[in-house]
Amino acid sequence: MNGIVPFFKKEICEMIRTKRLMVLGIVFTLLGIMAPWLAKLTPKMYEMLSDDLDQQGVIIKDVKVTALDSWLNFEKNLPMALIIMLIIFCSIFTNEYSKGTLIPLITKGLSRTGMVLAKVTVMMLTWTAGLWLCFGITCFYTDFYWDNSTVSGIAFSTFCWWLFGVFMICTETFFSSFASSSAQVLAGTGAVYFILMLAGAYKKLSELLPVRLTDSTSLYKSSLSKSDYFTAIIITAALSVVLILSALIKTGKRSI
Amino acid sequence: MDEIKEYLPMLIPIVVVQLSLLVYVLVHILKHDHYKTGSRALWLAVVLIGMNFVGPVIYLIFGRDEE
Amino acid sequence: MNILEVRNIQKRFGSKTVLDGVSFCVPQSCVFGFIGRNGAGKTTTMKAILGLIKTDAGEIDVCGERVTYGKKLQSGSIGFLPDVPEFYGYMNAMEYLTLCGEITGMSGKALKNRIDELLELVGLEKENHRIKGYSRGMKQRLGIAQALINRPKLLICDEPTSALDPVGRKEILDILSAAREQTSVLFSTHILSDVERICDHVAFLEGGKTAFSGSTREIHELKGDSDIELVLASPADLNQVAERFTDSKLSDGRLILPKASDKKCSELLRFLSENDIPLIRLERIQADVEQLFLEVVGR
Repeated sequence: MNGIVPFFKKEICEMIRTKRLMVLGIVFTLLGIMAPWLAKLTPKMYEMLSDDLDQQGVIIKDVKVTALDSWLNFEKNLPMALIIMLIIFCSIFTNEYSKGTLIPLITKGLSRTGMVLAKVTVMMLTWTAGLWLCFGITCFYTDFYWDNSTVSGIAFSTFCWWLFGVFMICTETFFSSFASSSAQVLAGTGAVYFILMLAGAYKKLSELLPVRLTDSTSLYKSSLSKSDYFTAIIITAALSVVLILSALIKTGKRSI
Repeated sequence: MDEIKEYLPMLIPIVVVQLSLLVYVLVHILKHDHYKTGSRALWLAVVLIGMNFVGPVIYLIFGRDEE
Repeated sequence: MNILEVRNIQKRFGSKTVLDGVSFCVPQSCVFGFIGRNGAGKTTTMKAILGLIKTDAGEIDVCGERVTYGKKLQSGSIGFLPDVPEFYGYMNAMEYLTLCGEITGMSGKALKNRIDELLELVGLEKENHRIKGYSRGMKQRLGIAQALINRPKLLICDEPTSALDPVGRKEILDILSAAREQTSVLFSTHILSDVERICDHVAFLEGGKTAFSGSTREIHELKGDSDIELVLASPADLNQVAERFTDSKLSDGRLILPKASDKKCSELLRFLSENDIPLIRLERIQADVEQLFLEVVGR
């Protein structure tokens, strides 16, 4: 773990100076505002469209928007936020390998384990801060216009999303430990995401997979309870640990 | 008028963030001539046509040269 | 005591044998030139010394400590400058050296003083810009500073001069020469004049083997006489000279006397002045590394 603290400071400096932190901050903020904003605009849009729809024979009566609509939008925005973050982080390891910027530091005694853990920590901190910032903004506006108490499990469902994001970060770290380019990392991570989504369509399996964590709708509507998520939570956490451990082993053997 | 007032708490931050993002990105594109991929004309088009914040964010992720 | 001892190391990449028995020793406070053609295995040898790649056979001792792949040396005693050093472009030299120093466990005032000292040694003390704006030579100089930060007993530089212009090259060589007071320097190159300028020990690498290893004096003894090139105003005179010196070769308006001794050279000058032959150019061709190399290898 030698050198983990200075390397962590370097990672923070990199996040700020390469403006990655700023880009992610803007994305999370905007997506946080967009959720209640779109919910608020929905009745207006229907109103504007109503004349056209009338002519087509569709009659819309007063569209009622509630806090639930805002939170459903929030849930729909999260994959976008996660994907943007994963794209931004896909080169965090491979850039260092391909440019050789790690060589001087490794020969000075920086441990590879410390290097990987410092980077993973920075990615997780970014995701944690970003997600809860996004959550906080949606939470504030939704409560401002409607009432959050009508929707159940908003904090718990966001925690589930947080864990899912952590799992995806671990996946990306795993692919980074042996891939030679950021494109390969992105392809691998994307493939895992895609396969999980496909597997999630199979009901019996989906209860066990990390994708279960992304199903916030059932929580909002109380059609599922918190306990229905526990198996998936434990499996996801275990998978994340396994991914990180294999990434550490692979990075240790990698020729730099 | 009252209706607009109702939207203001959200409208103001959205407009402020999006406008400053747009200005920042436009200035960035015009001040640099090296991009990860693409050319200046392409990125100007993407940023201006790209729906509100999508264009600028795409530029920041794929176009901005970090070095 | 020898700072570095390399004994008979071997390395294969797939079916290709890159190193096939490389051995040499680097004594204390000397500048050691490691010479070989491109692809001779210089970088591989250096990475093996640093423990960055796994060797198939042989032993490497640094300050009496065995090097094993992937393990850090207890004494942390090697500084390394890669052939094309790359640093974090968003930092400035001061910040980068602080990062390096903190990784080696230095901190506070001691680190600050060391950084000031090194920035002065490499001539970057007035540079406050970020590294992304640095030229090749500046990066190379920063590379030497970062390699020396924890006062290593051995500094390894991989072709520190090959990508630089003559001025930049001289600067780097001067810095390496000055660094000798603090450490032993092992540097690889294919430019012979660099070696002659600052090295006191050399090793030649050819075909994955050390073809020669020893001090520069020994090299000079081995090195035979070099060729002389003569260019004259009229081709007729040239033929006259060629008749007199039978072992000479004529090629497009130039006469080449291969392996001319000093005696032969004065003989030639006497012949020219006696016959009043007007002269355009007379030059001793410095043996380039390839020639010297072949000479050493094929002795």
